[in-house]
Amino acid sequence: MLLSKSYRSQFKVLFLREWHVYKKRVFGLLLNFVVLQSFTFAFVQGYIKPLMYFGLPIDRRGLMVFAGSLIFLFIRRSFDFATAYFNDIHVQKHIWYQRTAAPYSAVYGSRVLFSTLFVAALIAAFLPMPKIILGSSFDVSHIRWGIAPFVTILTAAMFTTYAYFCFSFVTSRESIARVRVRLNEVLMWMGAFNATWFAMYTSHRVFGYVSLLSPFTYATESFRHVLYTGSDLIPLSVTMSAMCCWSLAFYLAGLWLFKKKVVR
Amino acid sequence: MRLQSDFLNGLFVSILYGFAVRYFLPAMGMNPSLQYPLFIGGIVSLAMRSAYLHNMNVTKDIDASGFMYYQLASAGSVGEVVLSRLCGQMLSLSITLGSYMLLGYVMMRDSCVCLFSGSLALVFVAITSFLATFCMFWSYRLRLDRYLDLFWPRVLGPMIVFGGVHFTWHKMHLLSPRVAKIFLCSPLLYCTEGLRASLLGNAQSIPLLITVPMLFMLSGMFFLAAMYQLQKRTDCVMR
Repeated sequence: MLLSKSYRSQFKVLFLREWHVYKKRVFGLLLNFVVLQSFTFAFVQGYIKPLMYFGLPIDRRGLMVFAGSLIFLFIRRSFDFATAYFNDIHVQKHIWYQRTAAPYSAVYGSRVLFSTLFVAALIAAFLPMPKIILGSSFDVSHIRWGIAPFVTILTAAMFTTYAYFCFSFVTSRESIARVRVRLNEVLMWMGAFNATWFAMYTSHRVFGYVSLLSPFTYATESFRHVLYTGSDLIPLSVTMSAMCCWSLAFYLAGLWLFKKKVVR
Repeated sequence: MRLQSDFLNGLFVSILYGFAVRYFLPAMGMNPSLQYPLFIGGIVSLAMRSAYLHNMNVTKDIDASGFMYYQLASAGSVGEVVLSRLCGQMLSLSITLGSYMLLGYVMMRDSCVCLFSGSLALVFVAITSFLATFCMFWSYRLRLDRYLDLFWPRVLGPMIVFGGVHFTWHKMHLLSPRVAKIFLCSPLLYCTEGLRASLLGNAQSIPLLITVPMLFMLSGMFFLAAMYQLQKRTDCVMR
């Protein structure tokens, strides 16, 4: 069914519909996110934090903290898209019209694919900004350019599928706030957000083992490999494989929940 | 009902932040003397977030449910409504901020910290009144969609960046006195430095004689501005 011509054309129409909805917001997103937020983000995460924590703005440990905090951007952007998905189910109910015209997997899949690509594109536009803003105070000499696009897309895919999965079981706006704080924040702080996995492990073994349970750990460690690789990080092959597995698991679980909701 | 939920949410985040500054960052080589000052910065930003979320409902009360019009009709004046909401928010912020501080005290086990003092009580009132009036003013000024889309990236984001959440003003002053002076423009800096001065009692924070009057002055200004904005937004003649 997935390869049939009608399925593909329906998928394409749904995908283009998403673009039609979001193209009006592109300018605002670029202004708020890529221009304004990049200044504050680069200044705090790329300059102030390393300077305060370790005494030097150019330091490998500073880049490790910076790479961890990038995850926060992925979470915010992917949850923006998932909020629109939630509103389309519970508030404006557009999804019910789409469901009458196309299979549920095409409706869900087209949204996830569009959101993943849009999040990856926004982050890709954002990533050069810290260097432009901070200049020589931001070290890019160890960046592995070859793997950066793959890590960005895979991370965007994992966070988008995760956000859609969360919003497939949430039924009220109050629950959204609870998911954001009690689930996201916990996974984020457990997920080697502020310090590397190795630092968590050395402070106490239990922290290290618990951290491995968070899918976010693999994303933060992957970005650390991109910025400045080292033997103290979880191997890249492990982090990339784990992200693929988590993405697939979140996608299938979200699709199943979506099916339960819309197929009667 | 909301207080319980806000309190639990804040507690989750402050525990996790406490672990990070107490254990993980020192394991990466951070100076341990920064633990408590950074934790204080973190809880002030959490309180700011709590005030932001609280006031999201205020703007809904005007645009969505219209509850504000009912309140205005039953109260004597706009000032009464603003004052009653301010008191409610200050109480809610005091409970959340107080419990985060207590938690930090338990987690950091810092004997230099003084939790019960007159200066701390004064700083507490100053911080909660400033955070409440500031967010209240913006919630009366902006419509819900603009409050959600613009308030954080254009107002609160820069204010937090320059607000001493991730650094101490003294250290910034040592690095660059000129840049440190620019940071004095952020009102949040007076909250973080005021709390640091009253809790840690060291000479490296901005003195309380500066931070407390500044916070009360800003609170008064934003209170008057909030009254004006509410009048303007709900009065169809002034609109």
